[in-house]
Amino acid sequence: MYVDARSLSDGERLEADLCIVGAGAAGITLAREFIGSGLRVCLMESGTFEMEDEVQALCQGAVLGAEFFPLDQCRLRFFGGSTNHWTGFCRTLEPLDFAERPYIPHSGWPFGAEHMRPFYERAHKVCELGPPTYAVEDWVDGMPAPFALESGRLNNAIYQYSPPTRFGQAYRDELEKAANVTVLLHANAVNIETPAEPDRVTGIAAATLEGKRLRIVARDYVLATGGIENARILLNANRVQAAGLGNAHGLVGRYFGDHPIVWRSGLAVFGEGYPNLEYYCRDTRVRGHLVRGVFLPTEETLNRECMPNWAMTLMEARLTDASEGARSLKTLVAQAEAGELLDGFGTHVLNIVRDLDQLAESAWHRAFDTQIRIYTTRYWCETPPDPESRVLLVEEQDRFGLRRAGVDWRLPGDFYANIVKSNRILAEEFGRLGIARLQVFPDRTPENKDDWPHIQFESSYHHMGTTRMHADPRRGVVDADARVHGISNLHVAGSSVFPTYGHANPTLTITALAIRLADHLKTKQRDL
Amino acid sequence: MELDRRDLLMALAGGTLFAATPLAPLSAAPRRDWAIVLSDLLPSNESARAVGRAYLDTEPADFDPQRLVEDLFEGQDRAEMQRLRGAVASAVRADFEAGRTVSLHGWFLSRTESQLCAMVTLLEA
Ligand SMILES: Cc1cc2nc3c(=O)[nH]c(=O)nc-3n(C[C@H](O)[C@H](O)[C@H](O)COP(=O)(O)OP(=O)(O)OC[C@H]3O[C@@H](n4cnc5c(N)ncnc54)[C@H](O)[C@@H]3O)c2cc1C
Repeated sequence: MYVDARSLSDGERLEADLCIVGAGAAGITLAREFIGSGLRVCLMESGTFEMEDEVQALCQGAVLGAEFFPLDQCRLRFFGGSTNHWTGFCRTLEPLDFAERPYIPHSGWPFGAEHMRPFYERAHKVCELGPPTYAVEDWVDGMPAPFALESGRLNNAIYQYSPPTRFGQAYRDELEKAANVTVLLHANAVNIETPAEPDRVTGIAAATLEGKRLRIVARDYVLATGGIENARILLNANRVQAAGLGNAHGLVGRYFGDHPIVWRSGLAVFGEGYPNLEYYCRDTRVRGHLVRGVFLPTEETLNRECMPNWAMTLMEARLTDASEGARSLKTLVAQAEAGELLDGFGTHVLNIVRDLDQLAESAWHRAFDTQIRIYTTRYWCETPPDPESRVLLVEEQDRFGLRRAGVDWRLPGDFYANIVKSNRILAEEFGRLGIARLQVFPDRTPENKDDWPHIQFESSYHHMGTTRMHADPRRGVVDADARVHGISNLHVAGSSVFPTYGHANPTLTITALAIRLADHLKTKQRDL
Repeated sequence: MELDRRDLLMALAGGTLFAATPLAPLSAAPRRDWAIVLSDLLPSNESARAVGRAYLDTEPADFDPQRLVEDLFEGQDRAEMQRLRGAVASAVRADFEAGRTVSLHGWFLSRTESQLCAMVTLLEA
């Protein structure tokens, strides 16, 4: 059932067994799990079924650190949350992502990949994905053949695409019909109420933009407002404890992570006629499911190189991928296609490879005579959990008098070095196979940024880590059940609980964790 | 074109080819024989020089022309170009496999191919 909070009386009090704040991937998944459970669920949502400027403006905030999208443009504040825009690129986290890695401080989850497997399986259905397997052999029969990567340094792998499931649209009717679920639209959580000794939550104070005040009282509460907002709400809930709720150890908002993506991190030149590159640069439909091939480092590579996890894929290069020098060269001399994309040195490199690399010789010759195949490498990675990378409150306030969020995203000092290292690993694989040479684009510095305008990283709209999960309250905001340490009935859903991020896009894991949390809360409520 | 391996090694062993600094001695080596073999391998001479110079600019500590040539000619009585090419291609692949690569202007090249270019550069210097 849907109720518009604006239609309720000012000061109205609603009761439920479970109050979920935020109807994005996490909140909707959680609410759906309770359909028919006999428990009364109130799912509060700030917006309605379409985007409204005034509501969206509540997302505004400050960018304080590394390049980041404006805060009101990197998430959506209406029913369905950011899944109203998401691309649907999905993959489970890998066993290594859950493990504590000695070379990545603060890494590791309180449980492993095997524990997550049944939840991932259920989440696959929610996200309308294919079978819950990412083993290449389960997909490759329907795909263009990948390279035979036998060095043990890289693996072929796949990502799956969700259609993408727009959670707000896909599950709207189901929630409408659910007798035990009330979706409260236009209801903004503005405070989390606790007693003076904040060991439990006694209610959520909500408000509409028109000024109506409401109160939702439940046995259990879940914050599911997204990776930035979950921290912001806890930090702003500071009437009882000045540092905010669940923040006894100053961890709320810290360890903020996103996946920096470098759309063009290098240039790979292949001899024409070399087997299909489509595995890596095209989405392929396999038995009705859209998938994309990628290169992933093996665990051994990551452990040996002490690198955070990453992934790479290929894209056909465009003229804009060339350096300024190479582009202006084009206007001076009529160049072959290769010359348009390669600078002088790159052309020399190709000449040498053509001369020396016998196996590829014929391919190189053909390539030179006719067309060369130039691709760029797309790279994305996890950042190591860093307490200095954080969401914090800035002085500016929103319509409700709540301080806005500031995002101070920090990239690790070896971020660029790892881009080079990853491209080198790929280059060595290509060289070993005798199929290509690869140039990593130089670091973007203030001096060369105009020469290489495309060497930019972007954030990926994946806001993680700000209420990280750890069994020890000094090292995590929530425990292994996603319950805020020290507060008996407040849980958190979403990627803010990720203690380590992996390279995989987060929504599948968010959904799996929401299902896991639902199971836990059902048991908890039954035992009460 | 064929060159007797003995001739080649003689040429290499002559002079101060393997003196302490790796870069200077080649210029003192009998150039002709080397230039013939190597320039045949690398007909794109200008390109070889460009890559060779970039490699030498990195001041490589492990640039040992004697070893490079011995490795490439190993097991061959006569230096047939075709076999030499095969040996180079294998060495290049083995370099990539073992991570023996150098980065020149961001290009990851095998040590063997970079060093061959460096030899051409020095021979022509
Ligand atoms: C352009 C884009 C592309 C993306 N592509 C991918 C992709 O390919 N793969 C992938 O895995 N992920 C992708 N993502 C990220 C993905 O959308 C998020 O991971 C996912 O939506 C997070 O789910 P969530 O439920 O935690 O938060 P959200 O989806 O952000 O939902 C939070 C909900 O809480 C509501 N809310 C916030 N504050 C309050 C409040 N105070 N009171 C009441 N309600 C509140 C919001 O209105 C919103 O509906 C993409 C995101 C964007 C923007």
